[in-house]
Amino acid sequence: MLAMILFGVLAGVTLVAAVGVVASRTIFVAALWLVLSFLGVAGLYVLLGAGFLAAVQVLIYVGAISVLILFAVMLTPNAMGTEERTNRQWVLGVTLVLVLFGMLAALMFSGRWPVAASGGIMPEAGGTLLVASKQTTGMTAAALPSEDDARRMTGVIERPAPGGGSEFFVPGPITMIGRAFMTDYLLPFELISLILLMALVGAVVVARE
Amino acid sequence: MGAVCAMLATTFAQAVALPLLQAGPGPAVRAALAGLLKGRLPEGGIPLTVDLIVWVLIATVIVLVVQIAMLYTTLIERKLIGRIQDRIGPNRVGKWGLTQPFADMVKMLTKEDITPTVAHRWVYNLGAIMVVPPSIIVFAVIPLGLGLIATDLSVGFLFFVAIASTSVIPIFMAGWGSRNKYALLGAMRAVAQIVSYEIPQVLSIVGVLMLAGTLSMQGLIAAQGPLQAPGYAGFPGVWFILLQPVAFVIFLLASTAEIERTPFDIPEAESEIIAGYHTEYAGIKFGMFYLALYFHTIAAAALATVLFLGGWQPPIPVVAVGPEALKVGLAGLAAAVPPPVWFCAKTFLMVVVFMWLRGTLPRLRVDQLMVFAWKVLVPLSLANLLLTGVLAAVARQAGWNGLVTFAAFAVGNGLLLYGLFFLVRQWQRQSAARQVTFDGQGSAALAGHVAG
Repeated sequence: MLAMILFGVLAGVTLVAAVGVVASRTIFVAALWLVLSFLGVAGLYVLLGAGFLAAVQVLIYVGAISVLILFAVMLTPNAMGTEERTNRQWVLGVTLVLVLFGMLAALMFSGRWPVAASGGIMPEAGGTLLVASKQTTGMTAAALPSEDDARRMTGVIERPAPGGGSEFFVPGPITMIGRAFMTDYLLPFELISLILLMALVGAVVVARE
Repeated sequence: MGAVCAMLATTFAQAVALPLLQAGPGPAVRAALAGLLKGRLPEGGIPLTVDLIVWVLIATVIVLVVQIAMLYTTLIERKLIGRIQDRIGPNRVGKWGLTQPFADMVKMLTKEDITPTVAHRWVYNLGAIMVVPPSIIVFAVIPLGLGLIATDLSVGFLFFVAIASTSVIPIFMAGWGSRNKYALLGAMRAVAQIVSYEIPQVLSIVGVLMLAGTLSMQGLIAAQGPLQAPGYAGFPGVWFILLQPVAFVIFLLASTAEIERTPFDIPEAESEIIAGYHTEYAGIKFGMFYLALYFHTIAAAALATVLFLGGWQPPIPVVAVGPEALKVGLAGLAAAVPPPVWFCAKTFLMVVVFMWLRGTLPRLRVDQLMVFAWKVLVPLSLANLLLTGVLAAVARQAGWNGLVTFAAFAVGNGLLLYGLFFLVRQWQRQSAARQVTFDGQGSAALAGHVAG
């Protein structure tokens, strides 16, 4: 119930802000609407239990990309101006947006969406024991998977239990992301790290010239 | 004397008020609230309502406590800077000037509320309103003791950095909305400075995060003491300032720039650009910027305490060897003072360091500022990151004990500092040979560009 109300408020804020971005005639104000839209999306991530993604969304989209946009606006000759701009291509823009919306909606209703191993609830920081201790997950005993099912789920780690046998462990979101970076996505992760480091070193070198 | 009294009073006020935080999430309060609401609300709505009331209570306590701390921090700052400059400081309002902050507040509230006629009304006013929330939301993840934290997020540190990074948006709004070239220039300086110093600030902390192996604020504190979380893979019982002294200094300098305090208060250098982005604000709207400045200062000091000074843990070593009486005595001493007092004392120590820097150092020039961030702090923090990664991996593989690890880190940090001084000297010689001088052309070009 509360989740639905919060979802409605956050989605509303995101959408109104997104309309504000394209409807406002002062470019600086449009950029500010974009910030609000990004914050609304971060709120939706929090609602979905993806705290790490929400924090990264705020850090990168609000703290870095929006700031870059605002900075670029300030460096334009008309930075102080109140000059209002109109767009003569709005018909084309609306058509493209409607086509994109149709495609996304079709995708949304046609696809089968996977459910997380923890039953849709993202586990907390330290991770959650899936089978060994039934209380920690907050799920009823009937909803818990059997050992064979747990082995087939993605992201579940099997480890020896303290009392003998084995227990199944769903790591916290940060652990899962870190594990994915260091195993399945090692090459892209290293490449992106290298590119970012090169950009940083490049900035220092340019500053030294 | 007055300054010391004010500091003690503030610490005391925090120590008394903060246990209320513990009462917030406490089951007793929840049970009492549920009993009160029973029969007045539909049965299903009670847990939700109780949750909401508890969270509003916690938020209120945080805001009030931080606000009281902020009021007295201004008084302490004025007293301390006065002493540094051989003055007395405020001493007329109340005993030792203790009610001076309230007089200041009344003055701000009763001043005329001015909005410039050319200002963009919405952006101008929203800028003053939005400048405070980012600086106070971060206190939600500041722990004052075991369980004394509004919410111990698994991504606590990242939350802090993310929220703090949004504080540049209101500065932009203030600078642009004022429609004043000095305000715009001040905002651009502020944002360039904050964005530049965010890089060394976060890079210097990555070393600490690597050692602790967690992003949770309580986890970071636990990693620095005898109480370790299960699964902790770092080095036990040592404050990170001892393992990461260079990172601590980088963090301190970058934080000073982040919160725009002297010697990094270029965005509001009054001899160059009047008062920067808050030139056009008067009365309580200026008060909001003032408030945010002090909230940022306290938050940065609290973050330094969590990351490098062991958080709320007592600064008393746990002795593994020695007579039993000594062990019992030290443990008793550590237990006699509640954790929030340790935390507040350490935080105030850090706030005083910020004030001391302000009272001692002259303001940098805008080009010196950027040079310092990009040519000194960023390479140094990258080198520190590499060193920490290598040493942590080697220590874990080779199974070094605490003392060997500590010695290795001490040698490594010494090498870092030696390398830094060597490079800076070489760089100075090269500059002298090329006859490169800094004449502030960078800022002049920037000003010309904006005005044009």
